[in-house]
Amino acid sequence: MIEVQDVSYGLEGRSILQSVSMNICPGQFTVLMGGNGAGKTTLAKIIKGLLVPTSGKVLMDGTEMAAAGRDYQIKVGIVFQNPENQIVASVVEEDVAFGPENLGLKPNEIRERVESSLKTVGLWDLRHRPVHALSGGQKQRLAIAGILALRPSYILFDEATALLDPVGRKEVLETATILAKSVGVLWITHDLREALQADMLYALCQGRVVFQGSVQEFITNPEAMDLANATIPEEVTLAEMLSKRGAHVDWPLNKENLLKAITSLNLKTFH
Amino acid sequence: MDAVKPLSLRIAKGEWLALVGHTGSGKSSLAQLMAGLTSPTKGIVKHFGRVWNYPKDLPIEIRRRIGFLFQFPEHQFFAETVFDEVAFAAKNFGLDNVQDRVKESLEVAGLSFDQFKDRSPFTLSGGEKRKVALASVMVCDPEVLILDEPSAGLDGASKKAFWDWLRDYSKEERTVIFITHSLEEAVTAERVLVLSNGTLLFADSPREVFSHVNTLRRVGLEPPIATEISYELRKRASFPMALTVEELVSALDGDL
Repeated sequence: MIEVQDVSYGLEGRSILQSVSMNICPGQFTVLMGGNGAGKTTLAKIIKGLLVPTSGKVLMDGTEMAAAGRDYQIKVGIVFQNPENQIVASVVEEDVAFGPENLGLKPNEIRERVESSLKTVGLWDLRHRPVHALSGGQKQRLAIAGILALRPSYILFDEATALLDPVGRKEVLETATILAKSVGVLWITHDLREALQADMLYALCQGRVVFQGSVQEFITNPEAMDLANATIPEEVTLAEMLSKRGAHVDWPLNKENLLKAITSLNLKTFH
Repeated sequence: MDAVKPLSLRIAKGEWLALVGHTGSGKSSLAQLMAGLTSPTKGIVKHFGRVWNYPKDLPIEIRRRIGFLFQFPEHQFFAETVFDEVAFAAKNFGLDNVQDRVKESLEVAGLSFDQFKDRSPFTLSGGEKRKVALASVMVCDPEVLILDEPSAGLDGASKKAFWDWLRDYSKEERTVIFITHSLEEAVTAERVLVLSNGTLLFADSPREVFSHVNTLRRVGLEPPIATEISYELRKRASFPMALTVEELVSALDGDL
């Protein structure tokens, strides 16, 4: 488990994070929501160890980040917003090999890791492709493969879908969802639709944690939603309207479950 | 390769137009042609009723009348403060009341003038950078506003405030053309242009365009949930095509 304990961070006299505490558990999909400028990216950089908090600490499995050293950096990966900014090689498989090569692993081990990582993100067939010929979603999945090749325990996604089209968004979100079964995922977003599957949700507002709980609790808490600058996705609005009309709607709120709820209503047309 | 294949299109003054398509469909290229930022390899583009010898000879007055927000506006920041960044175009075009204009356009973009004017644009969060970039286009009060994915990176509340404001802006006889990946955003448009691999597939009302659910999915677009569901219901019985959740629910209510 990654434990963020009472972390504060200031820059140029402005306080960006104030006494933030949160946990990221292995095998869970943890979501961090918050409006523009709430401090989400700063917190992600602190958890990754790219920024040092002004006060407070970050622990991984009970050991402080500083004491864990390079081990911590290998165990915690981060995917940034812009796919263009996190690719280092010109060919897909070379990009994935970059991390393991730098760890000084043997060629066989590198090959094995490149293969399994690319297969996990569904890019194995494109391994010889030049990276510039990939779509945005494929580039983000390549970035994920590069992290997987280091065998991480935790992956942070900092608005990793914000610049992608719907197809790319889906690809990356689905990949992260699958990964959350084995590693701890922190999914940072301001799009509540991407948070609907969260095991645990935190909301930040002006550098403070203003909500911690389940998605269902969050969407029925107008004050927390407001503080996080979140808006209700259409799926949720529809589910609420269907419930009012007596339908039972199963989570997650996707097309299939909503359709099922609608057909359970006593509609004349479908008699 | 042709980023945009031969197409003809007329956009009337005051139109509210959405331009949609998957990544690489040619949306940005078409938008830049519309803005006079690039010239077509073949064919002509007329602005305000005539062909200008652009890009290099497009008169400065015409340039001021067309505002363009790039997809990654934060890449073009250069000034030391938010104020200078936003004021740049207004000063360059020789407009008066620069301070008032900067103040107004920052507030329009959802940033407090007093809190942000002296900050460096480079230390802002991703969403705040977007807002500064938008303000730096709005500061010249353009008649034609072309926005390449204006809401990407904005949080929910900012998105809503932005669209509300843009609707009002467009009501004042201004032409607004916005690029988006989200068909939910395109629902509000008077006309939706759908591009795929540089070809214009549709240029019609949202209701007409959204009825082609399968084609939209095939070109990598995701119809709104209400449209998807009414499409599925229509397979089983006669049911109206819904563009929004409200429409879908009122159709259901009529059927209960």
